Order: sequence, then structure tokens, then C-alpha cells
Amino acid sequence: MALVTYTPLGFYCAQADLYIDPLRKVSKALVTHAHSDHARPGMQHYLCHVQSVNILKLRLGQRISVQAMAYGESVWMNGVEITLFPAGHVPGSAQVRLSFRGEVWVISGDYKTVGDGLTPAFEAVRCHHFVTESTFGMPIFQWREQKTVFDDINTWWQKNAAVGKPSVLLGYSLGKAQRILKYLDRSIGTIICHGAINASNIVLQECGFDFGTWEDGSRGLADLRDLGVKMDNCLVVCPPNALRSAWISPLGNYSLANCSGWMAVSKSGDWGGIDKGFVLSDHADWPQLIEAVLGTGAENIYVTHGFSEILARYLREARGLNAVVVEQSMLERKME
Amino acid sequence: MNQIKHLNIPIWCDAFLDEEGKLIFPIKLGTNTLKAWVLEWTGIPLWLLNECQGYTGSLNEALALLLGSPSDGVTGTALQEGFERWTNWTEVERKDWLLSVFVAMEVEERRLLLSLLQGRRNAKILMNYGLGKPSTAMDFNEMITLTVHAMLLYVRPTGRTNAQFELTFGLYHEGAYIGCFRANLGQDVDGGWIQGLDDELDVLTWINGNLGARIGPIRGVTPGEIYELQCIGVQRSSRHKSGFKSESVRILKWVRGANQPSVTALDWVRDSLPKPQDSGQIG
Repeated sequence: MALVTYTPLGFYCAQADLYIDPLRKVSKALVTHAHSDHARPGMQHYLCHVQSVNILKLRLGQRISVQAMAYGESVWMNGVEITLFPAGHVPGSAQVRLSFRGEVWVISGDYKTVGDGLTPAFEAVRCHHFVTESTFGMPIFQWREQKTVFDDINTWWQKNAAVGKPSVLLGYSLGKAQRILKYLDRSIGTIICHGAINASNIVLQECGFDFGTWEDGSRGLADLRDLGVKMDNCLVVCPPNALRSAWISPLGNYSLANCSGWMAVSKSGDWGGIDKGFVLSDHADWPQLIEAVLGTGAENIYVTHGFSEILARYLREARGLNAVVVEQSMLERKME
Repeated sequence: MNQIKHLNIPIWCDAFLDEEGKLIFPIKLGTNTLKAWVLEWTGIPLWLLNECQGYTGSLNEALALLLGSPSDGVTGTALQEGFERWTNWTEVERKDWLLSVFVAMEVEERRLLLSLLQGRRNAKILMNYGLGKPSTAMDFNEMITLTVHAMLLYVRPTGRTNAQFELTFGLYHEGAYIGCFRANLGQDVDGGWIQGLDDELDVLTWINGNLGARIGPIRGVTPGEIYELQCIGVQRSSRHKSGFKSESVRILKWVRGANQPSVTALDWVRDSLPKPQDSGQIG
């Protein structure tokens, strides 16, 4: 029997009686990172990277039972050596290496191989079996250099500010938002964060992450305006669901942009009246996926969520690897 | 390159004009040839390209994206020179040149160039590279280009935000200003400056701060601002109040502090155009 199998509850290591990013309630869950499609509530015990602990508690409740591990540190469970390595996805994200009697598996979780200056950089880990994501597993997805994207974002903000129009930038509250905050040009105007992002910011700052200053928007934008914060040249960072709330209305007429890998495809520009799309993702693009797979030296590749059929077929036919698709009942689109 | 010198801005190449001066641009390139070249360049199999095309819903978009991030090294001149040599090149030379240009372009520019190569009449102008295609066939031998000073009369917001306007300019005639030319200004959907003026942001800021009465979709602006315009393809027209129309208008500069007497007289433009019997054009 293989060291790791895929069950209806998720990836499972029977020897260690441990699930990785389980879909339902289990006894022991190793969580690769704190996004809600990987870290779900209701597990008896959680195991995660040390920088994910406080975020997990913020999202799942302070009373969860959680054990922390550092990158490179090993934990043994019934003879299985479990080690975490940086995945480069978001702060606290990790790849999981499981080793038992010479058989080595690596479950990547979500990852990107190019460093973003915020999250510890991805490390390729040698293994026999590699489980990879494929959120952007099509060759049309090829990211530009991060600096170019942030130059574009700052230019867009500057132009809006010059004509007295607030700017609103959409980004997921864990990872993407902090990456945006780190590289915004604060000489242009004030940066305001939605409450959900503000809460993540505070926790991550306590963990030692540095992404500059911002104004807390959790009390409402009207309050900030009454306190004298200039709105006509501000940039508001908020998650997409904030647009459906009254929270955004005090801004009046604003320019809206989205930061996402999906913005690479022009039809994505039609989403919800977005004025501008910036192609910025915390997931690996096509070249990074191929680089990561080859970097592990693994003969057996298991492809999960995303364009899994396409990536698996390419790895089989063009690269000669034993690549298969992992069937998932969860076909939700990855959070960006 | 006579036309390019004449216009003082590189819009079309001689290579795209036939012996009578009629526009024959763009050269056409079959879809299958393009696909084969991109597949060879990227090393991906055909089925994967088809998957990409299916996902994006467009072959051009898939081809544009497959070439990845833009590299350095192409200029407008290189693009034009390549097209001018196109007919003398072998297929291998064409492929090498076109792909080297493609990979250096922005993705949106690749999409537009692909549209031009496929003869799409609605392809936008590739401003950065000076390549374009007018909406109607034009006779370059008969084309007249005039530089005028015109008064900004009205603006019309054309985008979702106040970052893009269509401007109407007027020339002086019998104590009043008659609307004669229209030009777009501000940011396009991709954030680029439409006119490419050094002070386009200043102009945009001024307009936003000086919007006047609303007349339907049109907004008046504080009168008195004068601009230097290059009007390309000016020809007589009985359908226009001014008595002429222009194929394309480029804003050259905002003439700050200019006084009203410096505005070009409408009669001067009329007098500069060939008489109907001379050109064979009817009113």
C-alpha cells in the first residue's frame, strides 16, 4: 500500500494516521496554509507551520488545538518522518514531506517558485511521489516580473489620484493583500485596508512580516473620512466580497482594479465592472509548475485542482512522467 | 516612405500601398501558418494549443499569451522595416522576423497585430509601433494634412471614468467658433495615454476641473484654451457644417496662454482644400 492515498476526506497517510488539508472533520490534520479551502474548521488537532498558527486561530477560533513546526524541522509519527518546506504561496505556507522506509512523498499544497520578497521562497524537495496543484496549469498563464506589475499598479493609482478619484484594489485578505501593501508607493496617497485584511495584517506583523503602514478601515470609510483621512487620492485594498457591502459606498465614484492571475485572459476583464486587471498571482504559472515538477526528480506526479487533466497529459506525453489526475469532489475554483 | 515624411508621424508604410497609392495593408498570413510557427517556437503540442484556444475563446488571444512575457528589443522602425522587406523574404526569414517581433511585444499588441495580419478591419491602431489601418480606403496621393490652432469647445466622456474624453475643437468663423475636429484624449482601457502628449495628464486634470454645462452627453468647458492639431486626410464634405471632414486628428500640443486671435480661421482650411472640380470629389 502506498504511503499516501487519496480518500474522500483528502490526502491520507495511514501509517501516521494523518490527513493533509482534509475536506471533512478528522482527528489529525496537517494544514499546508491558512486559506479556507485548505484550513477547514472542526479538526481535533491541527499541525501547521509556526507562521500559520495565529492566522489559523484568527480564522478557526482561539480554542483550536494546534501544533507548530518550523521549516526543516521533523516530527515523527509512527515511524513516518514529517517535514515542512517553504511553498512560497502565502505567509506560513508549506510543502509537506513524508518519508517512511525510503519512500518519500511531497505534497505541495499551493505554491509559487518565484520569490515575492514577503513569503519565504519555495524550495524544490527531492522525492519519489509529488503532489502538485495546477490552478494555472495552462501555458497561456505566464506571469510577468513582480516589479513590472507593481509599477503598473502604482502608475494606475497615481493617475487616479491626479484626477481626484479614489482607487479600489481587490485582493484576497491573506497573502495577496499583504504582498500588495508591501510594494505600494506611499507617496501617492493614503492606503486603507478592509477590516478582514486589517485583522490578517496585525497577526502577520506579530509574526515578523513587514509590509509597511496602512489605515485601518474596519470602523468604516465614513469614520475615516470624518477623521480627516483624504479619500480623493486614497487606495483601498479589500477582498472582492466587500464590493457587495455598504462599507464601500462612502467612497462614491472610484476606479476598480483586480489583482489576480485570472486577469491574464481578456475575458476576465469583463468580471463585475472591473476597470483594470493586474496579473498578479500567488500560484505558480505554467513554467513554474513544470520547473517545480522536474525539480523534485519524482517519477510519479499527482495533479490536483485546476487544469489537472491538461497538466497531467502534458507531463505524460511531453515529459515522459507517470502523471495522473487526483479526482477531487471539490471542483471549486481556487481562491485568488 | 514619402507618406510618412509628409505626415511627420509614422502611420503607414509604403509597403502597404499599391501602385496607385491605395491601401493594401495588412499583408495576410494564414492562421495555420501562424499556429505552426508558434507551436515550433514554444515547443508545445497542437492539442495543448487547442485547449488554450478553447479556454480563451480566441486563437489570437491564445497565441498572444503563449509567447509569454515581453522581451526587450523591438522598435517601431524594426516592425515597419520588416513589413517592407516581407515580400522579398523566404518563409524562414519571415517566421524568424515575425516571431522575434512578437515575443518583444506586449500581449495586447500581439493580439492587435494578429488581427491586422488576418485582415480584420476593426483592428485598433498599434500606436506604439506606428502601424494602423483606417476605417475606410484612403487615397494617399490625394490626402491633405493641415496643422491648425483650434479652440476646445466641448468634451464628451467616453469611458466609465473621467479619464477619457472625446474633444471637439472649433475654428473661427464670422465672430464665432464652429466645431470642426474631434479627437480622443486621456487613458485608454489599458491605462495608456491615447495622444501620448507630454502633459496629457495636465490636460485631463484641467478638463476635469473645468467642466461646464451638460448638453445631453456633451459637457461644455471653460472657453479660451487653444490646441495645435494635426488634421490628417482633410477633405470637403457637404454633410459637415464646417464644409470639410478629417480622417484622423492628432493633438500636437496644448498652447498655453495663447490668445483667441491665434485660432485658425475656418476659411483658411476651406481655401487650402482643392476645389471640387479639381479633385473630382463632390462636395
